[in-house]
Amino acid sequence: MLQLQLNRVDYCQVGTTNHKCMKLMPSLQKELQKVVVGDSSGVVQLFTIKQKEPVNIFKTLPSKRITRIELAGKLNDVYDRIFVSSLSTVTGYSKKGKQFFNFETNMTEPIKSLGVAGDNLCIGGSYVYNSYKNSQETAYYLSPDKINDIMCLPLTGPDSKMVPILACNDRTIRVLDDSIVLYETEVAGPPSTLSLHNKNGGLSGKEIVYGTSDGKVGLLEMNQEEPLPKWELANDRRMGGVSCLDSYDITNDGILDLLVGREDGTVEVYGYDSMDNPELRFTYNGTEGVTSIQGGCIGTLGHDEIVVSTYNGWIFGLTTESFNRELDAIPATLTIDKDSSAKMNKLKSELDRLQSQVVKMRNTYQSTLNNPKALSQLKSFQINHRFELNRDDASYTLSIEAEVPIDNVLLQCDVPIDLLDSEKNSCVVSYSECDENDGNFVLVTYRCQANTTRLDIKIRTIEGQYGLLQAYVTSRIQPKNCLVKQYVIKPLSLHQRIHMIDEKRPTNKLKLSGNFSLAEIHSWLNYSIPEMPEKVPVENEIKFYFINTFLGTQLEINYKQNEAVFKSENVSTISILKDVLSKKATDKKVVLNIDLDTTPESTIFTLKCVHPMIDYHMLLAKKVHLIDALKELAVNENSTNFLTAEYQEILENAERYKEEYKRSPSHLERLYGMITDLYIDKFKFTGQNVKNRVNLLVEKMDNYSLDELIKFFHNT
Amino acid sequence: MPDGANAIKCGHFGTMSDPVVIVGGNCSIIALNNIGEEVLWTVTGDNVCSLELIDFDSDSHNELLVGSEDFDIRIFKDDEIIGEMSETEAILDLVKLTSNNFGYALANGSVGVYDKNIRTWRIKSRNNVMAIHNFDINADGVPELITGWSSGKIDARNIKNGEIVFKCNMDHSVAGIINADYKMDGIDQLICCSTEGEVRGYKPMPSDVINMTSDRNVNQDAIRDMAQRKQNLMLELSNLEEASKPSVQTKFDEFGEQSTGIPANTQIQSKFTTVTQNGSVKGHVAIIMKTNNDTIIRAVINFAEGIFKGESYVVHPPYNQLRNDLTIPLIIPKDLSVDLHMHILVGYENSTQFHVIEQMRLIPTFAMYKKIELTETKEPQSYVTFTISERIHRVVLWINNNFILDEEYEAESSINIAFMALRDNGSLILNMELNGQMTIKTDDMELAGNLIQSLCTYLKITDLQSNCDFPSELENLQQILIQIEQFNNVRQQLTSQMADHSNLIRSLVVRAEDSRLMDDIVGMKRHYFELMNMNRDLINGYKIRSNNHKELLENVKLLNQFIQKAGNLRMGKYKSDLVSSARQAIKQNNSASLIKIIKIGSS
Repeated sequence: MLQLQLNRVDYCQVGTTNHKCMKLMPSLQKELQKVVVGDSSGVVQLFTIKQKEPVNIFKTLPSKRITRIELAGKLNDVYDRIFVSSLSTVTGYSKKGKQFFNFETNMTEPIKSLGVAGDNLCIGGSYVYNSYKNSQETAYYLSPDKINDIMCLPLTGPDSKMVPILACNDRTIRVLDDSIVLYETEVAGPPSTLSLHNKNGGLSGKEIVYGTSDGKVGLLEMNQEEPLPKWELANDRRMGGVSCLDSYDITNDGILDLLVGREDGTVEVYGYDSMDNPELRFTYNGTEGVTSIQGGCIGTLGHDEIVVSTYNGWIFGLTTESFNRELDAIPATLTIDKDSSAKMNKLKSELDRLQSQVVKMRNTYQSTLNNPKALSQLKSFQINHRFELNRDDASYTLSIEAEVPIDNVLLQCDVPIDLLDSEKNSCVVSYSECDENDGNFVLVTYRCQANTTRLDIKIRTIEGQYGLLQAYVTSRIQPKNCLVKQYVIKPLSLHQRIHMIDEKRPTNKLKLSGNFSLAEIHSWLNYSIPEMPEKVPVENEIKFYFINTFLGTQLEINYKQNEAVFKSENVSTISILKDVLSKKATDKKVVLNIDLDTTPESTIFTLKCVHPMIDYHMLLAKKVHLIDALKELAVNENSTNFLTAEYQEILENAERYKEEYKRSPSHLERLYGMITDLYIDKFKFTGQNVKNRVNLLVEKMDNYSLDELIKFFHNT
Repeated sequence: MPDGANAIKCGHFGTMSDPVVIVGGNCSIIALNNIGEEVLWTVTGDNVCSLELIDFDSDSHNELLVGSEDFDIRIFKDDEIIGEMSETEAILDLVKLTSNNFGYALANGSVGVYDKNIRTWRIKSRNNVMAIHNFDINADGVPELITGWSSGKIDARNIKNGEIVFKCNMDHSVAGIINADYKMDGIDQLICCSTEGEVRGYKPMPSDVINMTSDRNVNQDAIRDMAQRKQNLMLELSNLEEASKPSVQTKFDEFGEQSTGIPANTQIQSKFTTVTQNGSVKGHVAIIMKTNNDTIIRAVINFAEGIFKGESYVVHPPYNQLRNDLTIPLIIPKDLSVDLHMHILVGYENSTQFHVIEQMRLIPTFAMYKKIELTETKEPQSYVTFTISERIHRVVLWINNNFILDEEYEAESSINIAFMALRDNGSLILNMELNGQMTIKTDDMELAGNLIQSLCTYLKITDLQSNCDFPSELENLQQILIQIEQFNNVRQQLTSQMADHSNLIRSLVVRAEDSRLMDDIVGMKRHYFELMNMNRDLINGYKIRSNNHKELLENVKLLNQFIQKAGNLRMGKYKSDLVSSARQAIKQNNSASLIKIIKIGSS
């Protein structure tokens, strides 16, 4: 297979962009495609590239932040009408820039996502979904969790019914029929973006590709009654969340490839093998979050490219057009790229002009500083940030991306957490000394190199240790300015919502009853467990399932007015819930009756649950220890046949083991910590304080054996 | 090499006509000639990590640059120090670039370039520096500073401004970088090796050609960089416009968030003060800062090199204790003048956005000494005394500049001022009479040396002789000398033991083999058994020897440091005289003479 080789070409920079705010216009004849892009200042512009420079066809005046751009058109016609959403308005522009449509919706929330099918308009706010036909409201739906994206399946005929599909944050994709949910399906992570497979929905016209905010991609066929999952790509390489998808035949093999843009700046191209399973063909590692990705041809005729827009407003192409890469052919090509030198000169003069302007402005600013009545206002800068739990390694990722270069980020936390360094960051990390009495368990500065706009930090939390994480982001632009963002670390921070559980497991049961309303208990639970919907569900009796992403233990909650029941095989989970909820109730002066039913089998079950993980990681650690010695042997001997099969296997997979070991640092320690908690919590419920025996337990774990451990849990 | 060997350098040094080998050990520097004779010996502040020869003062004789673990780069002209630069971490490597320029690498991931004794630039990375090298990668006739990093990155930087002219990546940490004409085509190549065994060669090439070949990336990068700068300037412009608007009411932006304005004339007043030990709170330097209105200080981020565990120290008071004033306690581990870069976040209690007020403050060298009344002090037994021909007024100025004083110190006819060390509560008394006779009373010989060095630099005194007496420290010295002798004896004893053992082993091996040939299995077993025992003894012996050696080195280091400290009580030629006569006394094993030398500065 031919290696795909793509080179980056920068076209221009606009203001910061939201997801899916850049599209390529379809081209009728063999001509270069045009780019339409909308940015945070509300400017929508359509331009074409002439001699590597953008030339505007139209450009609107600044207004409200653009949240989505979609292209649409009549059935079986070219989709060249531009639909733009911002705040509560949807505007339509023709390809000439003529505004043919302007619709002020009755939405109570700002528009976040947009889908267009024929003369149907689907609009999503944070929770509300509305559809309109000819500007008349036709359907309304209130989603139980945040709506991240909306799309419509292609219409099959002039009278066919529109099928809107909602990607919701509770890991669910919902298919609507007017105002009711036709069906919903759970996917591997919170879906963040949707796209039609192969541009037209595949053979059936019903295939969609989704990307999740934890970096997975999958294909579903949305049939009439239920969806058919085709494939799903795990996020083994721990890339960022998927922000946009497109299909385009960049490999030029007659089959459309899947283009994936990610929040950490990565662009990937997937081709398909003979079984129609996706295969990675190309990766580009950018540094700025990708907001839209499109395949097309905009720079040079005959050379396909991937056009990418980034959060910071860069529009660049990854083109198949190759620049001279031959080392030996240098003397022949010593002519300096004229385009770029002209471009550079132009930029240089612009820079000088701006520089003098800034100096002038600085003086004005200085003079206002002496005015005692004046107020120094700082323009707040935009930051795009996320704090999310990854199911794969049970850790949180904090991503911060700013529209301006970041000078430094200070992380402060009032409970103990572990910060793991990400390879991708180039900043200098420094742990400051801190005093726990001042509520500072963590004070860490990340000093960024010039032009850093993005920072990813992996964070490990400890269940039961709940509090607030604060990030102070200081911009590099003068006068310097610092934004504070807060993230709540909930008591059961490692739990995640699931939609189904294994009912057969032995469980411990905690029953709380007392004089509390449904809204009260809901707010307490929302305080304790992540991924609880913000709004109180409409049912009278509510049931949710959760999974502990680290240990794999389950939690079932069932609550109504005056009563709440919790079931989990993990005693620690129950213990944390009991502590937090009784504290909350006491704050509200509600008297709780606590009814607790623990079973010894549940603890054994939990230990057995954890056992394979401990076993695996102990073995992994052993293998990694052996690698260097084995390698030494292999270098000095002609063949490694004299080694046992086990050792040969380790040698063969050395890199993989090392990689894996590096990826899960101190995993065992973390597991041991959980077992210690389990031990303490188990006996806490029987009124025994076993803290003095913890040392013995630690000894037991150093010489780990499941049977011994179970015996130890029993004999105390 | 009783002092150990941490760094080695060959070349012409000073006025010596033949090339010499210079070895940096534990606080010592030795130069050896072609037959292994010691031609020079001197001491430096701490273990030597790096050496380089460069003609620092352009007199066509090479001077020696010495980088050591106490963060200092010292320049030796023969055995005299003619310059000293303080860095922020141990100096791992030094490399000569041009006749005036040299590059350095620090243990905290910094690299930089000095032009003579002025630092032209430096950068800090989160990765560790594995190697630095001098190579002209872009064939412009001026060498670049090549740095190999632990991340596998290799970059070449312009020596004038630190801009990257070339970079590439290896898959693993860089192990070493050299240049050689490996392809035998008359052009030197840059050869880089990674820890996993990858070796790469790079040909020098003009930078515009590099641009052409590396996917136009450098060109693209330059354009992107400029565009980014343009964007930044535009943002700054709009920021400034916003900030300069004379608006009084608070505004809400489009997201409904309150944009915070603070009075334009908000200022931070800050001052240094010293706080003595109080219960569990150790003595420290406190920076007290206050805003001039009702705005509060949310947090202060302090950046400084060499005084914190990392590079920053954050003060973030709990929410319920936010006020318009804040105190930063600083414990400064050694007497070092440091630039403190403070980011002060100013706003209101519920702000989600804060103004960042930046302040740079210089912490004086002797910040950790608090002025106290003379009557409160216990007079130290030890002292150093010397005479300087300077007006008292100038020394008073030096005191005001190098100590933190709540109010300016003034003195007319004589100086008599007492301080307390905040680290160990020891006392320090400075005394100067009208005739220029100056006495420093302290039990800390290092402090006395630092004071003299700082004072002499301030007053531009090049040569200074002094008398001193440090009874307790000298007692220590005698202990050290006795220990060194003991360890040396043990070493000789052990070495002879080892020789005995190896003879025994040889005979045992022969006997065992003989027994085998004669089919005397019982005898063979017995001999091999003995051999095994002997082997065990040898290993034990080795362990004892290596421990002994470690102790010995430790004591030799202390001795060298002691001489260095004693040297620091003098300046210029008196200092080098002291060092060489002290070396002489040690060689002759004459401890009485050594102590005399330390006390009066010469034999």
